[in-house]
Amino acid sequence: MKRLEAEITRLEKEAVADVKVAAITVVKAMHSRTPVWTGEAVRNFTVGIGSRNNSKAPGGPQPPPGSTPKGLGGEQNRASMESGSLSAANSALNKLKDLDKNVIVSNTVDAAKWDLLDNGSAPTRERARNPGGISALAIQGARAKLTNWK
Amino acid sequence: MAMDTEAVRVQLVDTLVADFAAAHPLAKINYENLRLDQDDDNGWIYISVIPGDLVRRNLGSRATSGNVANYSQFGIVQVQMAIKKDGGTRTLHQFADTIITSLQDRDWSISGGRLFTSNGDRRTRGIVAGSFAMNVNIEWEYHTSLS
Repeated sequence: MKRLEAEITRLEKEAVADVKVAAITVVKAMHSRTPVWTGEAVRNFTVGIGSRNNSKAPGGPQPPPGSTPKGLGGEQNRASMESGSLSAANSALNKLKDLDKNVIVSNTVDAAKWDLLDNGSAPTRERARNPGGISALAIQGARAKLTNWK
Repeated sequence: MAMDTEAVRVQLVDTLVADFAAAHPLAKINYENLRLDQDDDNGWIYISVIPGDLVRRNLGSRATSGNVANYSQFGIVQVQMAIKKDGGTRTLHQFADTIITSLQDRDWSISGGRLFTSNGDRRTRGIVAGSFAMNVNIEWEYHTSLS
């Protein structure tokens, strides 16, 4: 009986670890689809355990005047802002000890900003830096990666 | 069966444009490679076919065809829609119904493989830049190989 209980405990721990990997995969997929200027939107992807995490963090410094926004991936503030977001996400996920709570990924930038970003309309419809927006392609990509994960 | 992403775009856009133009002849249809022509009186749509992740299919018998590895190219069709803000809720819902009916849960054999669509997602955005706006996203998956 003790061996059975130990095996159940081991499986539960493994499942919790898998949930953490899945959550980070989703956050990284969201990052990859999010354009960066100050990095506020990328920085404010949050992970909540059992409820939405409403914490807000400031973006990075404004890029120099006249800077041209780069394509997705090469922006000045991306690395530091993604790093801050992932660090906060990992801290939140470290509180997940068993499978009795949902893990909720959200973004806490203003709704108007999120609307433009997630609908591929930032800064304008014709000059969107991330055509297709964020969540639809990110969730699709994360789902595909997780399906083929193990 | 080499990958042919242009065949994906042609299949999706041609299907949608034929169905949409027949149902809404006055609405303006815009494409991602042309300047946006916004006709506020009759409404307009803006069609983008956007490839996402390319993933090796690792599951069991679907992983290979003979010695050739199988891949799934994922993506979405994003259709942005708008009409002048004093009216048009009904019109945009009719636009969205036409788009979803035209593209969701379809299955085509095309150059380089097979194309499937699923998961229509309708978003009401409210007033954006002076127009009442709504979006429809349709997911697609293209089963293909690299050789």
